[in-house]
Amino acid sequence: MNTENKAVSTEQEKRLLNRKDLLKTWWRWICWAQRCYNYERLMGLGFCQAISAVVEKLFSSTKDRAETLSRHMRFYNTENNWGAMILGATCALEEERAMGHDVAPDMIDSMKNALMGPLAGIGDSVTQSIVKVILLGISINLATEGNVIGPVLYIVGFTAYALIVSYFSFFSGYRMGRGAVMKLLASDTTKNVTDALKIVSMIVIGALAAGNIKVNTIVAGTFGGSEVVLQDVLNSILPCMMPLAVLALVIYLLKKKQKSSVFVLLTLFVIGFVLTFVNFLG
Amino acid sequence: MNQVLLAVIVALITWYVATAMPMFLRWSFYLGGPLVGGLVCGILFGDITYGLQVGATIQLAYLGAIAVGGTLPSELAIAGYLGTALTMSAGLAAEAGLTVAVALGSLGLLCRNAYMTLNSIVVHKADQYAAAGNAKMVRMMNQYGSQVVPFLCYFIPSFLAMYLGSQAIEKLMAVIPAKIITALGVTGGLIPALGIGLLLTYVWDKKFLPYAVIGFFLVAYLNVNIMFVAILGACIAVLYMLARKKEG
Repeated sequence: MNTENKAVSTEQEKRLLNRKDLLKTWWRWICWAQRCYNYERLMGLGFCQAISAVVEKLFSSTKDRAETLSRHMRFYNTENNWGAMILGATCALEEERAMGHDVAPDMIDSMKNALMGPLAGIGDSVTQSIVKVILLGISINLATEGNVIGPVLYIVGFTAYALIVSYFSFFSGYRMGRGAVMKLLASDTTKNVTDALKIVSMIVIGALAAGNIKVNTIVAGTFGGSEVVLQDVLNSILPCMMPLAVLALVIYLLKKKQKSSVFVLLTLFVIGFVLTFVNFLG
Repeated sequence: MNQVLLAVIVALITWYVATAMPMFLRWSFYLGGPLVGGLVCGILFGDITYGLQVGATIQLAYLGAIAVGGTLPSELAIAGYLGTALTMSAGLAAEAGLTVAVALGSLGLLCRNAYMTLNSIVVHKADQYAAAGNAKMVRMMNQYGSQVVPFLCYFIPSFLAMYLGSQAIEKLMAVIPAKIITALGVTGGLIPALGIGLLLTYVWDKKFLPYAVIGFFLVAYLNVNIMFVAILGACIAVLYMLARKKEG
């Protein structure tokens, strides 16, 4: 709140960009940031397309436009939703530059470079390992039962998340400018919220593991005249004992042994085939 | 449906979702490729329940598929849409389909790497327009120029796989011993451990590990719904935040 008031009071002069310009920029970003994804510049061209309307509005000479567009073509990569904040802040800085304030082009570049990493870090973990996992967990459950609500819920939920987060992130970036974005990233609140989300994510991951890793032994025999089914014995000791063992093995290989996911995949294939052929699993 | 037409539709969807769709939709359609692909293919093949089961099963292998810095462990559009379509057209069980889809997903990385490398050409063209101050053409490059290579890289292989593959898989399944099909199914049950394991190592934090254990045994012992687990998790998270606030 404080920052917002200060920004208004120090800038009595009229802003050059209106809401329509900013909406157009945000929309292009959330639609086409990764349309021309490539290893050389990643989102570079996407960023340039997003900000191009702002550049056209702010600068009328071909020379200024060329300089600004080329500068925004450089290597760029972040997380789309949370990273929209950087685009917002960039719009604010280009606007100040066009209004004749002392904003060096290099400074805009270094801000983009300084912020894209941290926001990708936060954004990737929140979007992909928390929001995605919780939504998928619920949706997969429903879909396995043949319920159409599963994928529909996932699409609606994730799309709403992307639109809402990127919208607020973009416009708060525009209002706050550079300094405040840096401060926000370092704040305790950000850390507490990420921690809290991690808890939800962890508990859902655990639940997914028990419900979806399927390992069943078909070993059975008669002991002292009564039929004994090994799987039933295992279940009575600890349900989902074998899925837990497989998961432990996978984590051991990935984390302790630093094996690649391809190696783990092949290991699982070998285990699956060998144990099927010795009539242990089925 | 006509085989050629079906292959064209599946290949078009695979390309569109992989590279052309607006990004805010791709979060669900691409990262949840198999799950959503299950619905799309279910509608396409006229058997939604079967489609959903295949898609949801394949998705389990990709729970931990996290795109970081432009790299992905597998091509989710190919595994999800092409994989589900092939599984359904061959009439495989969901677990066996999972192994087919995982193999396709790995091969699909070739398509992805090809376009991620070749699209530099479009960027260099856009550089020239930017240097001339031509914002409109920069946009054209990102909008349309960007899609030439991806279309070739995704549409052609997906079309061929769908057109030739569905018959090939059917023939193959007829001659393969039943034991191998069982083994494929068993392996399909194991692969979700990889997806979940990758995810756990990504969010790994020793102090939060007990929560994963709680989630695991809630389902193992009580067989509760995931929605219940998520609600419980949210409550614990709020309590955690409040406790942290008190500490200052």
